[in-house]
Amino acid sequence: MKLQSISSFRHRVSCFPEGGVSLKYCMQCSLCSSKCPVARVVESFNPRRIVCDALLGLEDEVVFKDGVWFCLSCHSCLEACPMNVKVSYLITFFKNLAVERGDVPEGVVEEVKQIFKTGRTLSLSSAVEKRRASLSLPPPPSVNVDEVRALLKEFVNVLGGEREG
Amino acid sequence: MNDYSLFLGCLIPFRLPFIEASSRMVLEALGIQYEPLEGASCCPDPIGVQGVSFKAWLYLAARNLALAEEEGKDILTLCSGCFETLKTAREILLRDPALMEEVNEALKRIDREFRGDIDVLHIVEALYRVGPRRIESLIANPLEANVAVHYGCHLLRPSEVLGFDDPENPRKLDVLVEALGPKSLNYNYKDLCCGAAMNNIDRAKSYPYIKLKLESATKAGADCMVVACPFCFMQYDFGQLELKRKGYGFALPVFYYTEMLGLALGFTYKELGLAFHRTSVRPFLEEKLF
Repeated sequence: MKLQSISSFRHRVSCFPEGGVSLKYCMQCSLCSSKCPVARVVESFNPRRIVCDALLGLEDEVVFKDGVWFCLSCHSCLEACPMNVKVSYLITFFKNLAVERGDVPEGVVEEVKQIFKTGRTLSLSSAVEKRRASLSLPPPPSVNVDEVRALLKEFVNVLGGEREG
Repeated sequence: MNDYSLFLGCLIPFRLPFIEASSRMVLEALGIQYEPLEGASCCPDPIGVQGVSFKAWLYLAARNLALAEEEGKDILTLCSGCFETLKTAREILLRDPALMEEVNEALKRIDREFRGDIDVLHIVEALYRVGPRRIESLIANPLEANVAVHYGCHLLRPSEVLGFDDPENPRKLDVLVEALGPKSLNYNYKDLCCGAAMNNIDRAKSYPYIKLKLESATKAGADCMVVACPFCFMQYDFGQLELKRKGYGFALPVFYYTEMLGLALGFTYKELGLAFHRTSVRPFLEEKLF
């Protein structure tokens, strides 16, 4: 029973297109953690431990509340790994799993909502509009938001759609 | 190819337009042709959006790449986040035909197609291709200063795909800075992440990254910092203001590379909009340039 769940979680990880299969090469040397800038600041964050839990199929441990979100995707771990485990992309996949459970930091939800709304993460304030004019800059290029929404329609629910007011 | 689709992204045109201004000015001064890419969305962000949905990230990046392919020009980015997203998404799709087919199936809905026939460059790479020697030959105002160069993460890694420079010991930005006259310093934590991506999660946790960097650059004798990404720029420029409120008194001017290049080429403080920096560059310029 236990073994079966380990292998089914590891199988799901291995299907992740960017580096999912690399999980099994990990030999727990901890170079990833030693190079991780987040581990210097956030005591609870340890990429080697996240990979270890994934190898053991401990999905709940891997996707613990907020933990994976501390990863900044700086790819220092991926670069350091002597076994070519794509640690940072594995953590991206674990973030995607956390989203399925509703564990997403508010700031990230806001960012994604803004992209759905305007196609971009930020919009033009009147202060910046004036600054652009004072620098003789033309208005920023426009975005066809309908196109963005049409392309992402199957992700509406995943991308914080349930929180739409 | 010396003719680019300029991918402006979000942070620069909507918050830091002076970085856009200096970049346009130096491109024009160096005779590099560009046209802002019309219709492009957020790249999207390689941390937040990719973390929410890898597939949504890939779809949206593929659309932006497809827009540039329709123009038939390589993409030039000013932001390292945009650079990483567009360059890695392109590579991921080209390496995985099944995924590319899936993405193109979705792109059909909006009458677009990803082919992968254009490349993605960061402006620092484009300037490096112009050549440090040629840039050196054009400068009107050589700067004498000690500079703490900061590469940031997304310009360098994953190096196997981005191919910008040696991820352990990058040199290109140092060489481009030194072409303008300054000395690029070795300093502790030169490779430390700026921590900007932490702001979406927990702003206070990003302060230690700013503090370590500024302390170490100051200790090494830096007169200013040079960065290649608007997120790193905001961390250090605006971040200093926030740290000051917490009792840490740093006064280290921060330049995006094209701003320093612009100054060296003879553009003025006013033309470059340097007054919009939150950490004043005035005292530095009065000492080093005027």
